[in-house]
Order: sequence, then structure tokens, then C-alpha cells
Amino acid sequence: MFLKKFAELPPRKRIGLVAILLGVIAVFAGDPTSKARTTIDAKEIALLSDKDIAEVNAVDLADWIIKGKYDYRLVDVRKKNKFEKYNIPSSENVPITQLLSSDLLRNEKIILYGESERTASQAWFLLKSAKYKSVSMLKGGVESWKKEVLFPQCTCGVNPSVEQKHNHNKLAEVSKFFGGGMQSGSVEATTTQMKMPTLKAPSKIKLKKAGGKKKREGC
Amino acid sequence: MFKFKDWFHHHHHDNVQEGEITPIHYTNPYLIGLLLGFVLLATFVIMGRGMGASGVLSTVAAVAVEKISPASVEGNNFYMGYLGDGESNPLKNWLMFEVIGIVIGGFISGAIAGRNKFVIEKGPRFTNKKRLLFAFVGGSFMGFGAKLARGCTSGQGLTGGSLLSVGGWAFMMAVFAGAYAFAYLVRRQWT
Amino acid sequence: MIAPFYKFGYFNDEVSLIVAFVLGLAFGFLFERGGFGSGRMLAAQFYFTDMRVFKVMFTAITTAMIGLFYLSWMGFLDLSLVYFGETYLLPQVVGGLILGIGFVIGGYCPGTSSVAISTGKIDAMVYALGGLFGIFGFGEIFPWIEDFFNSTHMGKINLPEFLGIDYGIVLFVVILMAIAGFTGADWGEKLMAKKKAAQVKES
Repeated sequence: MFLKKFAELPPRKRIGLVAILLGVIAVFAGDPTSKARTTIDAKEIALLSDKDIAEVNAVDLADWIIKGKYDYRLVDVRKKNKFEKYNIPSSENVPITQLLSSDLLRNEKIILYGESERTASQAWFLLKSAKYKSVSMLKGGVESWKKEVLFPQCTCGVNPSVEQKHNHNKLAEVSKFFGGGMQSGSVEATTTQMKMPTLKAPSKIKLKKAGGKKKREGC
Repeated sequence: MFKFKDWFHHHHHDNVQEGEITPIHYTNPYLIGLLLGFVLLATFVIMGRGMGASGVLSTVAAVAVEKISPASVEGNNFYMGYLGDGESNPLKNWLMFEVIGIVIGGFISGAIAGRNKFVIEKGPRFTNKKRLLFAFVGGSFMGFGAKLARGCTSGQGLTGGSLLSVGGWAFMMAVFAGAYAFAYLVRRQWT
Repeated sequence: MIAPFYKFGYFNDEVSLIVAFVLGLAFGFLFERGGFGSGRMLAAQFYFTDMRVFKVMFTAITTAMIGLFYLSWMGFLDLSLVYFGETYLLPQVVGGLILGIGFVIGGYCPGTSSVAISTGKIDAMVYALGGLFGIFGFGEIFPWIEDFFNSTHMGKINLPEFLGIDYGIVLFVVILMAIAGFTGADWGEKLMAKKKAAQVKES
């Protein structure tokens, strides 16, 4: 019966009524921009969790930093005091509680890292649930950064091949770049003895900010 | 709900005859607004931005000033913002292509309706010369105001308005206020 | 969240220029259809005889606003990726006043003048030249007004934030205001038409 009356109204009034209805619904719909409520695509996340595509190696990351690749954002999800004590150069500190309210955008490539892998994994899940498109984790966290980049083990055999020598030199260079150094000797001795380098090292690296290509979007 | 035949019927009505403006051959403004809203929405969904128009005038002005006297654009933040970093042609931007589309789209619609005609729009009590002078003066006000407000009725008004931007809404109200305030002074031009 | 498509990399910059052109075509076509290619038609708004400027603009704003809300609410459109201009309150209000004055003196605004030019209005062409002149003037005195230009910067603030009211409620209020406005506009037009008819009868 209502539909009949509705159909009899002139088109203008029909659209007006629809608009009012949409408005009323909107009043109860909640904030459309809220990232807190979201529908989780469990299947997609399960699939992504199964594959290892969301992981980044410490050595690869070191390579990117040195080469000045800037198409990603490196995010440290630890607490602020830990960040200030030491952080991987070019990283920004966004503790896990502030992730969703930060200025991280859904279309950015984000690499997360924490002390080990736990916090980063939780942050990964958080961002993926909020429909962030490209999120990865540093494999092994700061621990593996220490072990593989800052203080890599010297695999000095008796007769190293050309390739082994090449890799050795490369690792030595990389570790020097970040203020660390190549280690010889047992693993336990080094990681407990060596002090973490001070923050002087990160500031030496000049990063070309990704905002080099700022496009006008105004009118 | 809307008669498509009206869209393609040839009207040779000259709507600038002295006397009445005849709105009957123009489409219902509510319908136009609705469709325009959809186009605007499509722009948001496809590009993640709104529409605009005044930016093109700014770019053209900046390019012209640079060609004529490159020295005066150095250090002037305003012009430099529109000329870019020298890598790409400043005229090859999104707004420019959009405005070219607007121009051609308007032409097509006018052609279909038979409204395309070289003419000077004005009211019955005004001379052509005066009208053109007023047009130039009005244009300069527009140019200055659009730059000061960082936009025009398409950009700040439609785009900012639909995004519920505070500046956009304030701008729109100011535009209407300014226009209504001066309408009485120039009434002889139009009525 | 798959929209805005461009921001998620579905197509490149070159294609976006074509998109701009096509959207512009639709925009210009609709503008001319609605009578915005005529300075007289546009100016009539400010004499209450034909309120189509208000009707078209507000319908468009309301439609797009509702669309943005619901598409974002459905998880289709990521509003945080949509370009949102910064509010500089004072320059925008002053600029708006000046532009409004230019609107009623010149008879056009930037978008409508493009459509008017392509349909042959010579006064619109002169208007556009005036626009370039006005922008040139602005550019020349810019160093002196740069501070004012950057004053009252409120950042990316929208009405719900500013008023402290929910987005949905603001949306609803805007819809009601629009409908009230349209009703008033229609009534005002009829009134003016009656007045004019009475005037014509007398003369």
C-alpha cells in the first residue's frame, strides 16, 4: 500500500524521501571512517599466513636501505624507549596501540618489525584485518638484524672460494655501514659482549623521501 | 521519469533575446544535480580526488608569466608551485585534461541542442561594450578570489562540500553572500 | 577496500589523464544541459528568478556526500585515501566573498565559464581573460599577502569533527537542509514569476 502511494508521488518527492531515509539510516550507522570495526577476511589472512610472502630478510632490508630504496615504510612497533635505545635506520616508531590511528595508509608498502617476531606478527594481523594492502614483517625482528647485519658471523674457512670471499666482504661492508662489525668466534660470546651501536649510525644515512613526486590534487 | 527525446530535439531558441530567459529547454536542475553528484562520486571512487577548475587558469597564468619573464617567477612560491620541478610539462596535469573534457562536453551538449552561437550574454538594458568590461572585471575578481580561497565553486564548493570540509562550506556560503550582496549594484546588467 | 582505484594502483598516470578527460566530458555535458553555459541563467540565481545554481550545486553535493558515506561504510571506498583539502578559514571566506562578487559581476565561475566559452559566449571568453589577469595580479602581490594566505590553518577538518557531532547526524541534517532549501527555492521562483507576470500586466 505504501509502495503504491510512493509510486504515485512525483519523481522529485520520491528521491527526496529516499534521501531522507538514507539520512535516517546514516544516523545509526556509525562512523564510516572508523578502522576499529571491520570485517575480517579470515580465509585471505589464513592463506597469507600459510605462505611466507609476508616476510622480509634482514639482509635484504639492509640492502634496500643502503641502496636508498624508499617505496616502503619501515615501522618499529616496539615501545618508545626501546626505539630510542636502538632502531633500524630509516624506521619510524609506531607502537602497536597507535597503529590504526597513525598516518599509515592502506595503499602503502609497510614493513613491520619488533624485538622478536611476536609483536610484529600481531601488528601484521591488526593491519591486515583493517584491510591494509601490503604489510610484511622483518624475519626475526631486531634480533636477526643484530645477528645477520650488525654482527654477522665470520664464516672463515681454510680455503674460501671466490664466492664465499665475495659474500664475506659484502657482509663486512654492510655491517660497517650500520655501525657494527664482522664477528669471529662463537655466537654466544659475540651477541652478549658486543654493545649495540649508538644512534649516530642511522643519522649518517640520507634517505630520499618518497614524497619526491608530490602531485597536486587540489583544484 | 525523464524524456530522452528532449535531449536531442533541436532548439533554435535564442535564449539571449531581450526579454525573458527561457529555461524550458534546459533539463530539470534537480536531475542535473543528481547526475553531477554521480559523476563527482565516480571521480572520488576512481581517482581518490574531486573535481576542480580554477587550477587550470593558475597553471596557464604561471606558464605564461614564466615564458614572458622567467625572472619574476623565481622565488615566488605561488608560481613555482604550479610550474613543478621542471621534470614534466606543467600543462600535462589531471585538471588540464579534465577541463579540456569539460569544454568539449559542453560543446557537444550545446551542439545537440542547437544552442552553440557566438553571442554576448547580457540583460536588455545594457550595452555590449559595458557587458564585456564587466565580464573582465568580474573575471579578475574571480581569479583573485579563487586563488585566495585555494579553489572555486567546483573544487572547494562541490568537492569540499560533499566531503563536508569546513573550509569548503565556509567558502560556499561566502560566495553566495558576496554575490547576493553585489547583485543589486549590477542589476542593470542582467535584468 | 578496493577504491579509490587509482590510489591502489589499478591504473597508471597516463590512464588517469584519460579518466580526467572522460569525467570532464560528463561534467561539461551536464553543465550545459542544465543551463550553466549561459551567464544570464547563472546570474538569475541572485535575483531569485531562477534558482538553479543553488539547486544543482546542492543536489550534487548531497548526492555525492551520501555516496561517500555509504561506500565508505560498506568497506568499498577508503575515505582516508581521498584527497581532502586543508582548511584555511579566513582566506577561504574572504576569497569566497571576492569570487562571489566576481560571479555576479562577470556572470560565471571557472567551471561554468569553460562550458560557456565552448558554446560561443564571447563575454565568457573575456571573463576567462579577466580571470587570468586576476590570477596574475594575485601572483604579483603574493609575497605581500603570503602570510594572510597561510593564516587560520585548521588542517583537514570536516564538519562532524568541527561541530563534535556524528558524521551520520550531520549527513541527515544536511539532507533536511537541502530539501528545505529546495522547497524554499521553488516557492521563491514561483513568487518571482507571479510578480513579473503582474508587472507585465500593468505595463
